[in-house]
Amino acid sequence: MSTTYKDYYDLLSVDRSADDKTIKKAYRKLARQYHPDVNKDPDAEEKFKEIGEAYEVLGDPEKREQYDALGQGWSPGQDFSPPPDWEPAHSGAHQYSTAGDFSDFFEQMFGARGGPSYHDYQAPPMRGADHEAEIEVSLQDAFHGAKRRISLDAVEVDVAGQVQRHRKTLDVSIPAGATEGTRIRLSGQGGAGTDGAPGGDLFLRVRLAPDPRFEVDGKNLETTLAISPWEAALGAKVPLTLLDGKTAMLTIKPGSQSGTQLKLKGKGMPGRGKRKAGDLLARIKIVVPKTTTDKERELFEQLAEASSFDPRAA
Amino acid sequence: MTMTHERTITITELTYCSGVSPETVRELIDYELIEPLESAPEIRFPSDVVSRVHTILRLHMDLEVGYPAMGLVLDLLDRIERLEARR
Repeated sequence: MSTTYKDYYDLLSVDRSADDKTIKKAYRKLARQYHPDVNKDPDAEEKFKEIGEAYEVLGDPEKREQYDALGQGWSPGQDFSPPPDWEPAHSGAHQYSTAGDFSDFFEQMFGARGGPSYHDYQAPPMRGADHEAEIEVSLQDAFHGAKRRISLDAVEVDVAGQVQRHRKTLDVSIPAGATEGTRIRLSGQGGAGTDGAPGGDLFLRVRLAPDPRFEVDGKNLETTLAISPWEAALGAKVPLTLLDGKTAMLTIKPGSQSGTQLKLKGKGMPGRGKRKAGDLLARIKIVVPKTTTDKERELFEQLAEASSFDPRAA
Repeated sequence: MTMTHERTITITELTYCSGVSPETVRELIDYELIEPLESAPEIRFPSDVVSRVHTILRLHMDLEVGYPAMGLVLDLLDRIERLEARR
């Protein structure tokens, strides 16, 4: 197999008689100049590789001696075949990272590049990481349970070690009675495992969307029940529409005050497994008509005259 | 619906993508060369951290830039890139 000769001294711009120190200095100067992280010129990377290869040989006394043994009768680019009895040095290349694969010439001379690079760590096969994401759910869906289709970016690492992302669509069952912070586990849908190890789990953490009527406190629901002044004074039975669409009749005792809470046991969020259903708390709020008809006004005036009630008395 | 964590990776993923050990990753964090976006419940990085780690290691291996000076080098390179982009 033939390849073309490389003049490593020329690449580093040093004399064939240069000492180690001079060579090292020349390499460092050129490496700083052509390092692809520093020099954005498209040719810089190729140049940097050549410099790295040149220094790999000339910076190593053993390799330099072998290289020098080829003699000076060569010119760059000239066809080169190693002498028939040539034994590649077993050391190969070892030091530099960006240089990548060295030239065929180098491999003919010194064997294939081998040994460690900065990849100092081979991760053992491991189960993928658990991922967590948030899913916003309406109170209705959390109450009844729902099926949802979500899509998310999955991170995967391809064979080249690059991070790849792709959209992944998943069908998710929101269990009835899910509440703020409920975690839904999607087995194996987390981070990919490495080297055949199983994937991690994806945990979806439920966040409840604000509901216009109900507030959520753990398993309990709270709502405001508006009643009229006469319902409050006289007592009444008033309807309250629940989350499941059914209507409960609530008894208002005579003399009920704003802020009084009525508890409907078991009418909160449904239970899950061994957990019991929550309660529904209805907070009474007395609402006064903003405008009154003549008749209403007359009746309120009569009431005002007849009543000795003083809400400010201690 | 809100999905979070779409553009972040964990230390485990980073070690796998970059080929560096968790110890090296921690060292880079200690020198503030890479910065986690969040540290609880687990450390997560923006996903462009992989190319940054590669750059750091190249500069470290090829030019013998030490970790203490690395931050300065990276800042200056960033600055040059921004200035050149502005031209």
